[in-house]
Amino acid sequence: MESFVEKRFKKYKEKCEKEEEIVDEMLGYPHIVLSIRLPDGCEEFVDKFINLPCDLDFIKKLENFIKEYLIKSSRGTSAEL
Amino acid sequence: MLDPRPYLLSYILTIALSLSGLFPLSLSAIIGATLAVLFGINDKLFTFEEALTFVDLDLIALLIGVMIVSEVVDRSGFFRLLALKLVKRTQRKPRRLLIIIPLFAAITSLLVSDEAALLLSAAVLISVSKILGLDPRPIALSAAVMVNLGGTGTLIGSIPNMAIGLRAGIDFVEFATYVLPCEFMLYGVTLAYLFLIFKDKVPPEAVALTDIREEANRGEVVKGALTLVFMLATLILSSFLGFPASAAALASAVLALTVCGYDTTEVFRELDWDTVFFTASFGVVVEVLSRAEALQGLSQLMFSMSMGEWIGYSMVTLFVSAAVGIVLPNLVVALTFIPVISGLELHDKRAVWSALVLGANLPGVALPTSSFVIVMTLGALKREGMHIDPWEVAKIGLPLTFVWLGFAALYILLRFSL
Repeated sequence: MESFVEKRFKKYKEKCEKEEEIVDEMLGYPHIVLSIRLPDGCEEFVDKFINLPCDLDFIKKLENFIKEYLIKSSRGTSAEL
Repeated sequence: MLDPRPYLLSYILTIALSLSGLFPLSLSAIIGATLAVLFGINDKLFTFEEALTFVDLDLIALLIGVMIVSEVVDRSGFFRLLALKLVKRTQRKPRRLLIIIPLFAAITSLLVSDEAALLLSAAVLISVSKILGLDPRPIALSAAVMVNLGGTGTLIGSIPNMAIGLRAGIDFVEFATYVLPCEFMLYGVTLAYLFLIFKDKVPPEAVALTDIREEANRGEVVKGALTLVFMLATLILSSFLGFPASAAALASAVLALTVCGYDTTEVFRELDWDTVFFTASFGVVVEVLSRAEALQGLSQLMFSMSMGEWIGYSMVTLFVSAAVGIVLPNLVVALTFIPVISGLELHDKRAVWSALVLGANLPGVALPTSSFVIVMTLGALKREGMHIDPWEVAKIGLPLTFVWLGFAALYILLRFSL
C-alpha cells in the first residue's frame, strides 16, 4: 500500500511543491531553486546525490547553513560549513 | 447473435491497464477504445466514421471549459488569498481550523477541480502549520475527506457529475436542487465526526503565534473572482435559457483567457490532458459495449434486484455503483452505469440519476486506493517528513463511507417520494 501511494503521488509531487512555493511566498517566505551538479570526486555517490532533495536531514542542515551564511555575509565575514 | 465477450474483454483490459499503472490512464483507455472499435467494425456493428461520433464532444467541451476556468482562477490566487484570510482569522484557536480548512476545501471543490482544491488546502495547511507549530495531519486528512464530498453537489464539481448531468439532460440548477441539499447535510455530519475524532490532536491555543502576512496581486485576484462569478452566472442562465452547459463553460473559458491575460500556452500545458483523453476514450469503449448489448447483464441484474420500481432502481444504483466505486475510479463507474440507466423503462429517472451521482462520488475515501485525494494528502505530508499509515486512513474512510451511503439512501427516499 505504501508503495502504491508513493507511485501514484509522483504525478502530483511537482504540483504540490509549486503550490507550497506560491503559498509560502504569499506568506512572506520566498523560495529559491538551486541547480547543482554532482561535485567532482563524488561519482560513486550518484544515487545518494540524486536523493538529496528528499533527504529531510540534509534540507534542515542546508537551511541552517544558509541562515548562518546570510548572517555572516551580512556582517562581512565569510561563512564556513 | 453478437458475441459480447471481445467487447467485455476490451472493457476489462482498459480497467486492468488503468489500475496496473503500466500505462498512463489515457493510453490505457485509448488501447481499450481501439480494440473495441476494431471488434465493432469487424462485426459490422458500425463503420469507422460512425465510431468517430462516439466521442462525447459535449462532455469534452464542458470538461475543457471548466478546466481552463479552474486553472485561470487558480493562477489568479483568489482561493489562496481567501484561504489565508480565513486562517488568519482563526489562527488563535487552531481547533477551529479543523472546521474552517476542510469546509473551505469542500466549497472550493464544488467550484473548481478536486485536485486544485486539495493542492491549495494542503499547501496552505502545511505552510501555516510550520508558522504556528501545528501537526497538520488531522486537518489535512479532514480536508481530503471533505474535498471528496465537496465535488458531489454540482454539475461541474466532478467529471462523473458532468457526464451524468449531460447524458441525463439535467441542467446546472436542477442538478444542484437534487444533490446539493444532501451534500450540505453530509457536510454537517462529516465535519462533526471529524472534529470529534481529531480535536484532541490539535491544541486549543496556537503554540507559536506569529503574524501571518499575505501578499497577493489584488488586480489578478479580482479578475479571477469575476471569471468564476461569470461562469456560475452563465451556468445558471443556461438552465433558464436552455443553452448547453458546455457552451457556458467554453464562453467562460474564452473570457477567462482574454481578461486575465495569462500565457495561453502555459494554461493549456497545465490542463489534465490525461483525464481528458481517458474520458473521451473510455466513453468510446462504453458506447461500443452498449451497441454490442454487452451491458445487458448489468441491466438484467439491476432489474431483478429492483423489482421494476424507482425506489428499487435507485437503491440498487446507489449501493452497486458505490461498491464498485470503492475499487474502480468514479469516472469508470459513472460512464458504465449511464447507458444502463438510460435504457431503463422508467418514466421518471431523477432519483436513479441522483443515486448514481452519490454512488459514484461518495466512496472516494473508503480506501486509500479509491481515489487520488488520499494519495495526494499522504504524499504531501510524507514530503514534510510526516508519515501516516494508509490503512489507518481506511479505518476512518470506510465507516464514514457507509454512513454517507446510508444517509444518501434515506435522502433519496425522502426527496423523491415527497
